[in-house]
Amino acid sequence: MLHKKKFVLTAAFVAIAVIWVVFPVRIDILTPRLGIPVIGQAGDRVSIVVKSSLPLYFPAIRWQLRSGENQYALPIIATHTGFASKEFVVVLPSDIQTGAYSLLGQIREERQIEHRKAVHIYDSVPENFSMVQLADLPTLGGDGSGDQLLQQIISEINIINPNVVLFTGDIAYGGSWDQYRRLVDAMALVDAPVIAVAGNHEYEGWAGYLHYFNEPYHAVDYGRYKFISLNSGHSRDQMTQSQFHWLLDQFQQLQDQTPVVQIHHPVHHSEGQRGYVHVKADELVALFKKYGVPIVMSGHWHGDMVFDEQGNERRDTWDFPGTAYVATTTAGADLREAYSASPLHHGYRLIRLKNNKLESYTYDYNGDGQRDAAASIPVGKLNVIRGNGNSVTVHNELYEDFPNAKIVLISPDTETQWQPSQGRILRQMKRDGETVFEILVDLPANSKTTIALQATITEASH
Amino acid sequence: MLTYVLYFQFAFMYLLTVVMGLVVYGSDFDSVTGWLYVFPLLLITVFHKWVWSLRFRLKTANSIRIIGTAGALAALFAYAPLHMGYWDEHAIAQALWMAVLGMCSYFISVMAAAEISERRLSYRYYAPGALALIGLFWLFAVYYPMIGLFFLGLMFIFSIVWLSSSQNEYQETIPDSAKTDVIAKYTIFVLAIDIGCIIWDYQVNTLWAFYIAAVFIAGGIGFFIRLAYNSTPLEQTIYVAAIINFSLAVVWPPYLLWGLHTVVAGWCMGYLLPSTISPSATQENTSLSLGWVVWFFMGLVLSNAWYANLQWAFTRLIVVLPFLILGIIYAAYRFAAARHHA
Repeated sequence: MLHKKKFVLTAAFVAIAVIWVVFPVRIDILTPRLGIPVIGQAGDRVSIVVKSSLPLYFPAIRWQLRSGENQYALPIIATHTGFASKEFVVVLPSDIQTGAYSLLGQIREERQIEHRKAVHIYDSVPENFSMVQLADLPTLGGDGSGDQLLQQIISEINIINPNVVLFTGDIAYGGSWDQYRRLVDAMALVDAPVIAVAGNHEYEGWAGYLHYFNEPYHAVDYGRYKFISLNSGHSRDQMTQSQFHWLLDQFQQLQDQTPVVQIHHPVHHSEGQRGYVHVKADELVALFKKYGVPIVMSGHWHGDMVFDEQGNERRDTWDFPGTAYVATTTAGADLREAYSASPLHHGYRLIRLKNNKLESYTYDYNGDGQRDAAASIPVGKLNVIRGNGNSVTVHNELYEDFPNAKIVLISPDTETQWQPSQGRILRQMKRDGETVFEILVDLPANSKTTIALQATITEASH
Repeated sequence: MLTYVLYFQFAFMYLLTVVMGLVVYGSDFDSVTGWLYVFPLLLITVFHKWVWSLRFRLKTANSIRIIGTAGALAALFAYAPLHMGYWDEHAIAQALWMAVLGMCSYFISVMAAAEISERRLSYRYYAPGALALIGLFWLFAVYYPMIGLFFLGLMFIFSIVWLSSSQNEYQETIPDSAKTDVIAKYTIFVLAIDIGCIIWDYQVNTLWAFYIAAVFIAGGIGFFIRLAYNSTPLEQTIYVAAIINFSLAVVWPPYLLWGLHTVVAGWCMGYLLPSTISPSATQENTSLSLGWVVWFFMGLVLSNAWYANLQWAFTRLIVVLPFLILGIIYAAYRFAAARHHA
């Protein structure tokens, strides 16, 4: 009798504990998300992984993609249920437009889970592929100067219109939840797919990083490119055995793809430098060589430096055979002269690939017509000045041409038909009584370009 | 068996979960929260001997209810935000709950040890079963990394209901446990370094949970074999096997992540645990010790320091090498002595 009472009491307490922890049931999207997006084409199969707070319980979820007023339902073609997570395999609709989409999961009628800019649709991988890489971002919060600088950088990146943007660690100094929230809000303003990886400073607020980005190392496929993001933060600048095995698997699964690698700590270093990959550096270099990695991008040093695959620091030329190991200056933290082979500046790096080969990754800093050996692009020299009405002037003070730069113009109505004074319309979207035009133009080096929307035919003229 | 789980939980669930949590999610010892994790451990270390000597008097109905309830509540408060979330190293509430949980976990281990002695709970079946059950608990960490805290909460609920207050007549007759085997403790220390390194390697990737589960399940088997066959002469070989296993992982790091490595480490630990928790324990006298936990904890902490500096792998070998040589000599000596005696 006493034992029976004890059993009942124990069972009651255990039930209360389980209910306390598990309910209400929470469902979260693990992948894809901002920072680890899916980059695909219409008709591609996409895997969505969710986790549930109640093991073995997954409510029915309807998936859709949303961008402005465009919404696309994602038909589920397969599911794989695990103990605490479930994979939904969905198909991207055949009529989906290119661009960035939020991923929405509708759980019954009352609940919705959403990840901004988790899915990006492209129509084809361009022959001339470009990417922007930045690391060691300005500190957000405080007096707001860091936020302003990051806004400026993102504005410039959106004009340059790269195919992908890489955030190579130390993206939230201090790592408070407020900083991560500000960072993610800023990242969501980037038009191109954003791929992010942790640096050492993310370990100051690791829970926040994991909350927003979930996976410390990951791979994102983009057509014939595979973007591999490695975690060297680990609190001691190194590569762990298990991550190394994962990397090996990623390389072995390459199918005619060119791997592009980002890792916060530089793999090579010059004498006297601190903060580089201490463990497994030689093995990494051998793997990168074996699998034809054209470029390995890093940050951490707050200065521009380039090494060849033998580990020699290159100050003579940027154009040498083998993998280029590139450390990019800080986007907004303190600058360090001892770690920079280019004039000190806050900046980011524009990398161009043509037919899977590295075409350029440095900048002509002094405008002598030759790209420097290590320099990245300085911030603040690519500005948009909004004119009266429907026009903008883009002031490109850089010694760099930007073909297919993207300018956004907004018309005050949705009825008038507009044409840009130059360039071509990439996309137009109706939004809250106005029409947003994305216009592609060529921005030559050291130029001022004015683009205006000109009315062509109105409803009234009919 | 649940009483043995309560006895082992301080080392194998609380300490391992705290160290694992701080490894996976980071620790900041420049902040108050960092020290909140350490404070109860310092307190326990200072007052352990005194508390241990009073363990039978401590186990009253009221103390069981108060400590069990406080522990269960602390475990559930600490775990609830981590069930689908991440351990925020700067969250003061989290650190406070963990500190309370640490104290409760320790006292419940102490009281469970007293209960085992009083009720002469056989350790031949119950202790290996308890280790295997702890292994099963760890398996769930593959899905929810911090779930060890939740299981601690459940264990404390069991303690409230199932631990009984001490009877005076037992307190008079049961001695404190005898001094335990130093080499066995050292080997447990080395094995703890080994286990800690696995968690350090995988970090957020919870595959480590499979390995930790394997350690304890293999540990249960090792413990059972040791008692079932009373094969004490093999013990010296086990010291050497454990240290060779560890040394292999140092000189050839991929071995660290092999299933074989984990099983050998776990099996050795299980085999040596009887020598560390109480070498003189028999079916009639199950007086236990808790001193070995310090060695286990020190191993976990040291693995943190060593693994965080992987480039100094050889230093681990330097620490192990003299013991490896001494162990081989000692094993050879004992083996020769046993043959001579025969």
